[in-house]
Parts: sequence; structure tokens; C-alpha cells
Amino acid sequence: MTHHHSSNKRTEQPPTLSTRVLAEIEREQVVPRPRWTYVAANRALWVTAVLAIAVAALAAAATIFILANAGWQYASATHGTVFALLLAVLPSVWLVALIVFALVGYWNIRHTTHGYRYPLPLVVAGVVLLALLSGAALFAAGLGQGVEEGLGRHLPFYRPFLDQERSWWLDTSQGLLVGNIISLAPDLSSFTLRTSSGKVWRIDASDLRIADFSVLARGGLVRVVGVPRSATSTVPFHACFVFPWQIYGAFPVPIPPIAAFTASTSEIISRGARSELCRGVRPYQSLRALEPNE
Amino acid sequence: METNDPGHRIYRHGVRMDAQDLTDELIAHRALLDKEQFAVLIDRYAEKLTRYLWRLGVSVREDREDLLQNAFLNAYRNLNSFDSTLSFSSWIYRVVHNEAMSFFRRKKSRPEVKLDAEGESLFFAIEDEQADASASTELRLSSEELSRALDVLSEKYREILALRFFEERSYAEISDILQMPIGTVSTMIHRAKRALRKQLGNRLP
Repeated sequence: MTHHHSSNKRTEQPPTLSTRVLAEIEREQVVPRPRWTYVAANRALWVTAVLAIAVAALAAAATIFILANAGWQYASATHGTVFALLLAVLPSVWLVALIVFALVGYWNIRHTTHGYRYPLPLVVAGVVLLALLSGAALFAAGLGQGVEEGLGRHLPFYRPFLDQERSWWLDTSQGLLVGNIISLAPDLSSFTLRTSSGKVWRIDASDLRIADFSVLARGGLVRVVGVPRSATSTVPFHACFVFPWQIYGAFPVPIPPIAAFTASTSEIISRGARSELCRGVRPYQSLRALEPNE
Repeated sequence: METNDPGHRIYRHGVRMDAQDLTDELIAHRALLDKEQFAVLIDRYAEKLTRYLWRLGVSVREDREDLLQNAFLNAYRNLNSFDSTLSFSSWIYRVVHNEAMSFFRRKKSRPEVKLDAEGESLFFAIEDEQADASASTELRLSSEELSRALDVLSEKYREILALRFFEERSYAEISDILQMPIGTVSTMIHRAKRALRKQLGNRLP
């Protein structure tokens, strides 16, 4: 009898947590999710992180291409100041892409199995540095332009940088011209140039120096800084400087001379100065600094 | 050759071993094949985790029981995600912690720190970073005093202090439970102690 009572007491005990959990597992037929789902999810996070960093690297390559070809040495002629040029060339689309995909990369790494263990600044700096270094490697391999133009073509409202730069230089009212050399007069008094729109310009070369002629002699695409003449003139554009249109698609990218940035924008009459006509060209001293000493 | 029986006993090469003698990690591994083994882990952690939930501010007993049951069900469902480079203890604390945070979010309530009333007082070591580095202040506080001071602190500070000083978890374990870098754990504990010290300002010698 006593034994019966104590047995009843035992059965009246509320079920323990483990009993309840096991009963629930049994009732709901709970089974552990297969391991491969976690492994696959973790790998997917890593793959997405790597892809995001790869896209960030492409954006970095495009950014480097734009910055390498911005024509900083001509900033005084095209935009007045380096800062104004910086605002004009700032590759915001690519910088945003770089930041967004670097963040996607960071988020994915952070959510991998051990991602929480890595300090935030280390992961962010690591991802950004990796994207920049990979971008620099892509640029070094000559892929910067391809990325900038190829991907840029698929972005709405995006204009490839070289098209944009060419349009700055197709502004004769501002004394800027870009085109392919067609011919150079035997007496070196003039040359003809065809712009991308197909228009042919006859240009007065009387003010040019040896450095300019060597650029003309090489032919191809050139940029000309000069003074527009009246439309009725037989030679509607007076050239003061001719520079090659060089595209830097890989390293090394030459660093422009400091004088190109520091020379005063006020015109100074100095030895070797060109005619009175060219002294009006914005900023004469800066542009002269770009030419080799004669 | 190993076999199991429902009484949590495991036979290894014919030698009987109590599951109680095995590590949590090994039992977790075995529970994948035999769910009865999972009961050993539940029994090992039920009390500690109930106390932890109480300290996190789940004050109603039924809520704690439901929460813990759900947490263990989730843990079982996700047992394959248990990473053997972690301790099982850290992993199950993480599961329970996440369950509690979801509970507070669902309830839209701010958890209130609860301390065991059974102890008439608590010792709480607070390093004094202003003073000599070796100096640490051990305060003898009543549980109400400490509860009041902790309640004023932000949730993240209270959580981390609870894990460090009441659950006596190492920095590495807290890092695994709260899923943050060890450096961040260290910084947060330092800041939490400073904040608590400020709250207890008039109680310090």
C-alpha cells in the first residue's frame, strides 16, 4: 500500500523540461536540419562576399582609370582649377559601387560561422584594401578602360569618361580642340585636324614650338589649346599649344609637373613667350610648364 | 562499437559509460543519432539557463519555461549547426540569449535585471581605472541596490555584465554568446563597469 502511494506521488510530479522537450520533439517529429544546409549557407556567404569584393574591385579599376586619365595637368585650361576638375571627374558612380559592394562583402563575411570574431575595422579595412589592390591589379593588367566603358555602357545615365573628356575639349569658344591630325603644311604654318564629329579644322601653327610640332609629327589624336578666330577667317583657330591625347590604360601613369598646378593663372610675359594672341590663353604659364624646355 | 540505451548510458567497446561522464560536445554529437541523448544536455543546462533567463529579466516562470522549451527545441532542430570549435555551453547560451531577445522584442518590453534574492548581499568587483591599476574595489551590495543600479544601464551593458559577473563567462565565451569580437567584449565590459561605477558612485569608498 505504502509502495502504491509513493508510486502515485512520483507520477504526480510535473514532467521535467527534458521530458517535455523530448515529447515535443516526438510529437512534432522534429529532426535536426541536415548539416549540408549550414555548410551550403556558410559557403554561399563566402561566395557572395568574394563576388561582392570582385565587383568592388571592378569599380576600383574603373575609378583608377578615370583618375589616371582625368588630365590633371590641363585642369587650368579645361576647368580653371584642379578642384573644379576633381568635382567634374569624381567617379561617384564607381565610388558608390565600390562602397556598396565592399559593405555587401563585409556583411557576408560578418555573417559567416566565425565572422563575428573579426573586429569591424579589420574586416572593413581588409575588404576595402582588397578591393583597391585587386582594382589596381586589374588596371595594371590593362582592364580599367574596358571595365569603365564596358560596364558604364550598361548603366543608365552613365557616359564613359573618355567621351566626357572629349566633349570638354571640343569647345573652340573656350580655345579647346581635340581631333586627329590630317595634314601639316610643309612650311609648318598650319595644320588640319578632324574632330570626332567629322568637322575639319584648319589651324594656324605660327605660334607653335618644336615640342608642339613633334606632337603633330607623331600624328593621331591631339589636344590643342588656342584662340578661336572669326568664322570668316581662312584659319579659324590659332594654336598656342599642342599636346598628345594619350590614354593611360595601365601603370605607369606619369605624374604631371608641379608647375602645371602652381603656376599663376595671371599671364606673365617671359622669355620664349608666344605671340600677343597666345598670352590671352588661360593660364599660359601652367601650360608652358607642361612642355619640355626649348 | 558503441550502442545506446534510453537511460543515457553508452556502451563503448562493450564497456558501459554513463553519458554523464561525457563532454557536452560529445553528447551533442551523439544526440544527432539518438535524441534521448539530448535529454542529458537539457538536464545539465536547465537550471543554469533558467537562472540566466531570470537575470535577463524574464520574470514570469511560465514565460521562462516556454522560452527554454522553445530554445531547446530550436537547439535540437539546429544541432547540426553546432560548431565543434565552440563550447556547447557558449552555443546553448547563445540560442537562449537569442530566444530571450526575440521574446523581449515580441513583448516590446524593456527587460529588468533580476538578481537572486536568496543571497542577502553580493560582491561585485569594479576595477577603478582612475586609480592605481592594481586597485579594484569589491563592493558588498544588496541585491536590490545592484538591481537598481543595473536597471539604469543600457540593455547591452546589463547583458554583458550579467554574463561576465553572474554567469562567470570568460571573454571568449561572451564573444561566442553575443557574437562579437573579443576586443569589443573587453571594451563593452570596461564601459559597462564604468557606467555601473558611476551609478554606484555614492556607494564607493
